[in-house]
Amino acid sequence: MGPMAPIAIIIFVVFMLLIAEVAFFQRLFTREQSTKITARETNIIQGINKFEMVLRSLEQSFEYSFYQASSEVLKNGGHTDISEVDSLNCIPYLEVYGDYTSPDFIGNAEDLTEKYLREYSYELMDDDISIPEFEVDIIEDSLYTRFSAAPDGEVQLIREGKLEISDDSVISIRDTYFFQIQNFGTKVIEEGYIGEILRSSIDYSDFENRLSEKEAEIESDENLPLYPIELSLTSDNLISNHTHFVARVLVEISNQREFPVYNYRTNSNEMEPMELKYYIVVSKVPENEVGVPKDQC
Amino acid sequence: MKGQVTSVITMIVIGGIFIITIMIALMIPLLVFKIHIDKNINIQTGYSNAELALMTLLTSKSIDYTSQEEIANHLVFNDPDNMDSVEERLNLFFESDTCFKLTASGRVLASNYCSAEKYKAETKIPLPYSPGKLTEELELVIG
Repeated sequence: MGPMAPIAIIIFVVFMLLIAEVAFFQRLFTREQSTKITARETNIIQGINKFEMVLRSLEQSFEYSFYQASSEVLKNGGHTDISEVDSLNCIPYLEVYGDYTSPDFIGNAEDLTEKYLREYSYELMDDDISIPEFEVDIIEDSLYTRFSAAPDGEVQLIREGKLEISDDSVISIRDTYFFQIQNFGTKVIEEGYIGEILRSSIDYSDFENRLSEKEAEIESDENLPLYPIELSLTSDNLISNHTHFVARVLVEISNQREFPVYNYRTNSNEMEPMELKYYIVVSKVPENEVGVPKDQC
Repeated sequence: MKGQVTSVITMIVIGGIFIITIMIALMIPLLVFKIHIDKNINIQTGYSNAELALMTLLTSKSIDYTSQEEIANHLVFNDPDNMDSVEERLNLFFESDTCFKLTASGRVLASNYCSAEKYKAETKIPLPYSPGKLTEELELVIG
């Protein structure tokens, strides 16, 4: 073994080490590239996940907005604000001595739903997510009544110019009760059922009997088997005269399923059925001069 | 002859030290780099898993309600009064060695009673309408 042999060994080992180092570095470099790709993919996946969660939350928000809006509109006898109409114990008078102003149940429910959905949208938006305004409409077909919310633009997720996702789908929910309850409610007034009973009644007792018969008749004729609703017609006489009476009829129409809503009268969240309550006042007194009691809700 | 052997041994020792030093000097940054990359991949995968689990949970449906509605009803009405069904679903998503904790504004809704702290996924869920309180921040931590 010559004197240069150890040096040759060292050079050889160093050379081998350098080769190993280069190979290792090459592997790491490739891995780093794939990490960057993974990071980009992860960013996309996380963006899609976030976007999907927002879309899902928007659908749920639309449902809650619709429940709240339709519950309020029904409670206010078709109005958005009960102070727009005379009322007693927060129950509106919708017809007094034949004077009936037809409230726009559907239009008011659409407007209120839009308002509440807008509030939810502001809450769901952040730096990445932008949500447009929605226009709410009722869609009727042979099977169901649906409420739809069409975006006035696109729901968008934009991340530092690297990721952009958008969606302009219409959200829709099946209305099971609101449309039917308001339909029942307006029908009771517009068909003139109460006036008809009044004209054929001999006295107040007869009026009451005919009222309960009519209640059963309307319920069986008009109800839909899938979404049964209940109708109740009860009355009281506003004067003491039994023959020439003034009847105040409380019309109550409700369903059995409960919905999560905020009750402004108790200032709390409650599970409540959809319920329309209103008064109709009819008179057998010729001059119709008896005033109806009112208060501030 | 003896002097030659000694110098060869010395050279080998010096050479060995030289090689080891070079090796360490070259390897350490690369190893640190490798550990960093591996950690990043694990974090990204972990976060994605947490997000996917949260999204799957929220959209999963029982007979009447989605888990999202169930959680919202629990938070607002305390109905249902426990989150057992949600906990059951999370138990199905994760293997027994994965810890999880689902919280809403710091309140623990479901957990498998071990310490989960690695990967966090967050989202807002809508609550039944109430002026001033329309959403709740939900957080799922796993790991």
